[in-house]
Amino acid sequence: MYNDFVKYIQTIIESLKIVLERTFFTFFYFIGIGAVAVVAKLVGKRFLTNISDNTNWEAPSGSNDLTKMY
Amino acid sequence: MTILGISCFYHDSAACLIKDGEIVAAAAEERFSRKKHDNGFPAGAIEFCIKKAGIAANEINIVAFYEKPIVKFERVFSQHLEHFPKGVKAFSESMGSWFTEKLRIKKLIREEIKYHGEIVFIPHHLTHAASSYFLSGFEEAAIVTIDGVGEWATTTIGFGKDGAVTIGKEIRFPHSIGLFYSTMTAFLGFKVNNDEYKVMGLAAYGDEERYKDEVDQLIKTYPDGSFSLNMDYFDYAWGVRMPSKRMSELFNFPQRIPEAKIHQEHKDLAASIQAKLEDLVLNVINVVQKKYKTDNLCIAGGVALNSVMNGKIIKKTKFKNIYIPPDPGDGGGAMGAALYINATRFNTNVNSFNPFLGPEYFWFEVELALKKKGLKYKLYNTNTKLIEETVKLLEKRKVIGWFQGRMEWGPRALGARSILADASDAKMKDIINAKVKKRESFRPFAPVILDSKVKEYFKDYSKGIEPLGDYMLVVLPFKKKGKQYAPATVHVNDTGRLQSIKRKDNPLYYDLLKAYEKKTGSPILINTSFNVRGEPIVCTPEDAVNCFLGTNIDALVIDNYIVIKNEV
Repeated sequence: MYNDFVKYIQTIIESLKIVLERTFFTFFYFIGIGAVAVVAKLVGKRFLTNISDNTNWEAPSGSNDLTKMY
Repeated sequence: MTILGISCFYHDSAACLIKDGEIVAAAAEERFSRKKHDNGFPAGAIEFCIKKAGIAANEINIVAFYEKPIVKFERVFSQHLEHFPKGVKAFSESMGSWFTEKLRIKKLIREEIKYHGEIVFIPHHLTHAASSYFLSGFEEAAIVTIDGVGEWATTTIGFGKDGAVTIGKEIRFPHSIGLFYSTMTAFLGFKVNNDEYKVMGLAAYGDEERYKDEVDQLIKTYPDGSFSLNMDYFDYAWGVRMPSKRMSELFNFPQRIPEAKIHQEHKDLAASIQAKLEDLVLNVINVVQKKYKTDNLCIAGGVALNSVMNGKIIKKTKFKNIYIPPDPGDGGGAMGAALYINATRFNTNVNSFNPFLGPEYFWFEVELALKKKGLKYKLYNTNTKLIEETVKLLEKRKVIGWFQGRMEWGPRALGARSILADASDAKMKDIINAKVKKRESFRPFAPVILDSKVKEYFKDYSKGIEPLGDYMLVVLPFKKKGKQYAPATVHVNDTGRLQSIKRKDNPLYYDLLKAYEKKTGSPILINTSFNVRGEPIVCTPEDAVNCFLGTNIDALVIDNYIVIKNEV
């Protein structure tokens, strides 16, 4: 009985966490991503690959430093 | 020197441990967590690897992670910047895990396994390339990696020589053969990152010409082997859903609802998609052959699991030898990361490789699992007697759960966690489906065959594709004799996804097949994975017993014990 109650409360907390997290990221999306995206569109900046007419091969990207996460 | 390779957070998390140049252990997390294609942190797989090596976590010299998380995050962010404001749902749903897990991977590794040493990050496609080249045994080879997406790359070509791997060129997201195939898998009502092989199986029932023109509109190919997708038809760059609404307009029928009836249009579309995939990949491979001028080809990435495509490479390109590792997908990235560090930091290469790298269990653990469920079993003191009895059961057309030794690495059951049955009766397919697998009726079962007999029963088999047969990664046409002896494994287009078995790789499994051949004249059995639909392959004796009891498998051959269902 006690365990079921704890489980129930934990589920509610988890669900609340998800709702709060999603609300935060939705807000961030419109304010942060939105502002950058609008400015980028105005200056003609593209974020994904631009395809050329003859090929879609590109030189490998990224650093060779394996200790880095980037 | 000890290296732990880890892959996780996309699909098929896994771990692999190399100690002093030898792969000691490797396994997918799904086998421990019992969650199919588990993408969580592979705590169970890591724990198993460390235990198997008989070391403590801090004795590991390097942990190698299978991608560069920040570069991947940059790509995800770029997708949302490019497609604002369409991606709000995907953004709000996915960002949480980036900040709680994916970008904290370093800390997570330290906390989860109590490790304080060096952690390195290998680019995703480099781990794919390494997972194939360093196991291939080739001194030099062209390397092609094709999957959904890594950080940015979706397809790469490169070269391996004298223990070094170099990526030459890449094609970047959103242009992806893997995501093209997955999108079409979704459109046909199947599960993405799980059911792609169903599209491959369904393709044999269709007419590839029917939707050829429409499928051609989805992807443009260039003479240099590269390609680009027409993104008007794909929503995956910003949405949760993969095909766009325009896809239905193009094909003139709606996206199939999962489990709904499969119509001829679905079969024809599957055939056209499969044909397009083969065209795209063979185009890349032919360009690579011209560029690197070698006879040897290494392939990796999830697309390399398309065994129908693999069966056509030798015939349609100039390569003479092909290698694909047992797990070419993301799980294999864990092994690739470890192999890459093993070769580049410690200048060693693995001398020998077999795919039986998972957990094994002592006889008393097996006995305990049987006793716990109150099962009546018979213990056979020698392998000869065990095999004799198993052959008798197979002759009686019994469906057998076969659980022996160390679990296989990779998604295929290779004779350690398999369901075996007689292949000489075409009805066996329906019997296995009714008793255990509950698969869609269009899906075939695979044959396992003695290595020395493959050429007698299959067309187009050559020494150059031997490793593909070893790991059940190639579909070949049956010869007349094959169709006659193993009708239960013959697909509608007279092909089969074979596993060829050599004694040195798995003596007990080989001896069983040899004994079966002696008794019946046929060197072929049905080999399908030991699981029920929707669950991972069994790992422990308890899993095997549960699967045995939860289905109508007739007999369980586990270690040296045999349990027969009606005697339970």
